[in-house]
Amino acid sequence: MLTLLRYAYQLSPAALIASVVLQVLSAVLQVLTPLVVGAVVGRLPGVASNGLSVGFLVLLALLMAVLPMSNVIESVAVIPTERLDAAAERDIFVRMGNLGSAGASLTSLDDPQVLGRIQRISVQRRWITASLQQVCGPIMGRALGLAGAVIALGVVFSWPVAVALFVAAIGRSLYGIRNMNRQLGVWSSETEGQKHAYYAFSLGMGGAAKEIRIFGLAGFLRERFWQYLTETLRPYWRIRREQAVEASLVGLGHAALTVAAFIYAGLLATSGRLALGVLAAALPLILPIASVNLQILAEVQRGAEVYRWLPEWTADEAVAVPAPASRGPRRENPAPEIVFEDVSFRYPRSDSDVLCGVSMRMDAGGAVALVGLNGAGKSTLVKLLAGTYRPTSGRILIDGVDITDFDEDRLRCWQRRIAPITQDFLRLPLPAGDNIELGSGQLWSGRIDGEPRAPSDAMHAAAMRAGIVDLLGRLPRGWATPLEKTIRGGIELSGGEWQRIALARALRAVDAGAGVLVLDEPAAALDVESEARLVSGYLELTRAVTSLVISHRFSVVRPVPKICVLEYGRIIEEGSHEQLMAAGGRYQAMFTLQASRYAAAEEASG
Amino acid sequence: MNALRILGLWISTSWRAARSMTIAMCTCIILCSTLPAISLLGISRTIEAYSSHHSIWPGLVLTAVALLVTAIAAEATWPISDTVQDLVDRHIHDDLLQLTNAIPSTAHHEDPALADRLSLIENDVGALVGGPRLLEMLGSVASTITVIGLLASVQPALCLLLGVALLPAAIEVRGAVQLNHVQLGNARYHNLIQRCVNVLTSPRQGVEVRCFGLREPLLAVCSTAMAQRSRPRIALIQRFACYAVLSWLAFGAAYALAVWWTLTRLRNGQASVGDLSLLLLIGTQVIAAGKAITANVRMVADQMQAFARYQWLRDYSRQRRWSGGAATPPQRLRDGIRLRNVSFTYPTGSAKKALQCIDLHLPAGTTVAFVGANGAGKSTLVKLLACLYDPTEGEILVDGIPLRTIGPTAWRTRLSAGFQDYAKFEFLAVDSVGVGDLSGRTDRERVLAAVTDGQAQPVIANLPAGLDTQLGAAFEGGVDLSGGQWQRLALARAFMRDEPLLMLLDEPTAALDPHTEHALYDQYAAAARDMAKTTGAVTVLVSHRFSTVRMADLIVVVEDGRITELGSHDSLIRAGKRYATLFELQARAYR
Repeated sequence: MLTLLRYAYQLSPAALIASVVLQVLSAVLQVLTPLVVGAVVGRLPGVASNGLSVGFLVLLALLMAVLPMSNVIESVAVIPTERLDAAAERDIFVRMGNLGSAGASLTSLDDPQVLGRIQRISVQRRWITASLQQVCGPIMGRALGLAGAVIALGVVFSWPVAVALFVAAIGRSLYGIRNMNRQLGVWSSETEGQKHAYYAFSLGMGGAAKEIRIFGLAGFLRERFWQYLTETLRPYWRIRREQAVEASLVGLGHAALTVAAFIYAGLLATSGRLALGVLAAALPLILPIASVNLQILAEVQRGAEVYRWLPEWTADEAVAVPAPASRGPRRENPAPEIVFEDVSFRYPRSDSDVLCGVSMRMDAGGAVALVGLNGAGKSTLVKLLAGTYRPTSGRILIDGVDITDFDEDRLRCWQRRIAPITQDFLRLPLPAGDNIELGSGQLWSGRIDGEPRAPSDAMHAAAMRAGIVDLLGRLPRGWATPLEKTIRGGIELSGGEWQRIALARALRAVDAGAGVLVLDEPAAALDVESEARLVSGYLELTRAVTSLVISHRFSVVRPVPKICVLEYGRIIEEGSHEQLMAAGGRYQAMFTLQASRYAAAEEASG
Repeated sequence: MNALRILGLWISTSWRAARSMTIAMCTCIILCSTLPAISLLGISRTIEAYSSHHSIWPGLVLTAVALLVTAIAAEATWPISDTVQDLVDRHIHDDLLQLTNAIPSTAHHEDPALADRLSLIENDVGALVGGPRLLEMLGSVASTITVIGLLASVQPALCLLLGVALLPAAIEVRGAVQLNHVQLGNARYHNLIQRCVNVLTSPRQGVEVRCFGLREPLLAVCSTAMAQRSRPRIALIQRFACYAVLSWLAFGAAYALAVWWTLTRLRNGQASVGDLSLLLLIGTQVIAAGKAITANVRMVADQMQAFARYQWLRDYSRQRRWSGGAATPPQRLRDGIRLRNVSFTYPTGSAKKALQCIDLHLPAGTTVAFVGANGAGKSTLVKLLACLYDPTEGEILVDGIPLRTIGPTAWRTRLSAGFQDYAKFEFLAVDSVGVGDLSGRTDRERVLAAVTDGQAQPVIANLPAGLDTQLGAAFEGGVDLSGGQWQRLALARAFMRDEPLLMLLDEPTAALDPHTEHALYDQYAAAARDMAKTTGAVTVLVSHRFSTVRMADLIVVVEDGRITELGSHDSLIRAGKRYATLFELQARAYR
């Protein structure tokens, strides 16, 4: 609880203080109201027989003022808690984003523990915000109110009774917390069985519409959903059946104690040892003490636990979002030379090498193509080149310097000199303009509902070179069209159209100073004609940079002067298309096999 | 009338899901909501008796009994209502699954308006499951009646207080409704933030994030979106907090007036001490009753929409259920499949025809390839053949039997399909493949054979527990696959079915390298020939790779919803039109 209060203070001291003040006021009112009611009611018989007194009128006025006050406070109290909620949500997202993107290396992100942590936070962050609202709001008010009522009852009526009721209330709350803890997992649908069940449901609701109909899977999915859910819930139903009985008894015991307190007060009153005013004050104080239940604290405990999964707070990152950094100053030699020297690599927690002894030289400003079958290790090579992983053995030299010797800052600078299109390239639900301009590491508008504004010359140039001027012209709001159909005014691009947006982004990065262009399967989603255009313009696009194009399509790699053939983690051949064909090795065999499937056409078309 | 139907659905849902539990829950709720007011009555009786020197015991006993019964009912309510909630949750999810999938076509997934509606229903489930809360209305009705009874026992005119108590409650409701609207409108910001954070934290996008330097700009996007999201929300909350404060002050004034009036009557001897003390004590109950009423009105308003959509789906699903004859598909194809003058317009409101006057014969025992640019209508043809849509005009004949009279379910037992936008079934690997034919799902031999046919052995071999590996990173011990690996499993699934009459392969190999694709089709071609001999099966193939396309017996070029060319590879090349141009463009790279 203290952890969460401290967190609230870090998020917004003003909101926390406002909350605390309001909750203290509310607690005071919780105690004051029954006391004033008691005092007023106690004087009623006197008023009936002797007429109004000034003292009575003052008390009555006070009561009339106090009664609506607690509601007024309740209405106002949502404002600071809402502010805290917004601040916490923002903070959690920023911290998660930071956690994932802080290091230059990707090794930690591949760690299932780190990934698991991120996943857990993103699924369960509502626990943090919900418990924050509770701690700074109702729970605080309730706890303070309970303390106040107990003290008031002790003062006006009897300390032993007050303490007994207090202990009973706490005991019952603890019992409630225990019960709640047993069920939190199933309430928040976080058990494995529920995940399976709801996954089957989401498949059935649209995740697999065609397959469900063609393979007749509706019944299968229903059964799967039903079984998984029932098996998960059944033990909880049993627990609850037992609980219903047990908890009723606990509640009955607690109520019996309360009633005993009533009877005790009644006995005192009938024997004349208790004034009516005191009785009238005591009875309404007993009721709220008896009805306080702090079992919601279970939720707070859970929230605090989730909160502890958040990465440590460090002053320089979380609160202030750093201003976008621009690409470093252009270097004398923007296109570096890259040499792989006997590089081997295996992923952490894996027992086989993905790359074994790769040696490859990319001349400054030169173009290299890499060809190989699915799973030959092509994409891993890109990750090593970008320094997001370190080779298990061997060296990668950038202009003669081993990448392993780079410190974190230098590695970051190196990464910023690479313009990649990866296989699962980014598709951001932002305007087309941002999707392209982000290649420079800068935002264009950065919002999905901004006013359309003119793109910069550099953006125009990138669009031109990527051949998407037509495409952008067709979009309903041009450059400002969000590329996501669920956003109003947004549209969904086809795979091929996206691929050309990704190309424009990479070219924008080159224009902003990146000296290395990496294209991993840049034509996978393009149709025949677009692919032909890309291939014919490729060497022109890469003129000023060191480039690497990776593909299993011979049409894409063929024009590149230097082609490396990667198979089973090794470079087995390299040379130009003509050289490789002449060499009669693997390349020639694969090419000929492909070509033979088109060959008859030549005969036919003559 | 419609509103009544919806209300009926609402109430009956809980009843259908859990009968006895629902009754138990109602009882508890009614007890819990009437007894607090009764216990206050007991207290005021006590005070009255005390001041008039009668026995205070009847009043105290009343309070005590009320308290004890409330205690039991209150504690029992939660376990019971949680379980009712679970049962209703299960029932509604199951019903939605049944309703959605009883619709034979997939129109509701592809028409954006319908799809939106459906996804709203999916999101509604929470609200629908909250359905039993409608029963809490019983509680608020009961407590309101009690409060009215008590107020009226003092003086009937005092019942007006309850009316005043509705004012702040109504404001609260109005605020909540508007907040809901703001929230819905802001969902896009939330999605944007979530996506940005996913990009920043996913290893898959790690290289791009670092190379383009996306950390700062994307965090800035999150920040802006976050502010855009919370600003209107907080402004609204502040505005309604002001209204609420004013309305509570108004209620306070009315209440003071009522007290003063009763005090005057007391002095005139028209009211008793008990009356006034009851009025003073019951203030909080009046507020509570007002709140309960409005909370319920709000809930009804909120959930009415959810249940209205639920009702819509029930009606929609019932209307769309297939109602043709019950012909059975032939045991084997002799003539083949014929499309006669088939036109098709997607039911999305756009008038553009996706297919126009298609006449086509797919001869028994052949492989037919569809070729054309994206959006030309190839996939639409495939969907019509799979009975996922009915043609708008014209008809499809299977060996002369109209497909309409066979009906989707029967027809689909005799076809199989693989798609480019395949589904990822995150089950055990054996089930993910096995669902291609439910009857053979547990037959490991058959699953393994399908895995081999789909070139998926390397995928299975790489899994830690082979066929018994859980797929999908969201599950415990689950393994995430790459796109290419998923595609091979989807292919294996398509090959599960024994002796289909029609095999639809709609670019299912786009993510594979040409080598693997050819290995797959070579192997498939052999199997298809055998199949063609025994059942006369037709294979329909869509691919952008002409080296694959040319293997087909018949090639159909589709442009703008029409068939522009038709024939064997050789004849089309000789014709020297569109097909020949496209083929040449691709073949050039291999010369």
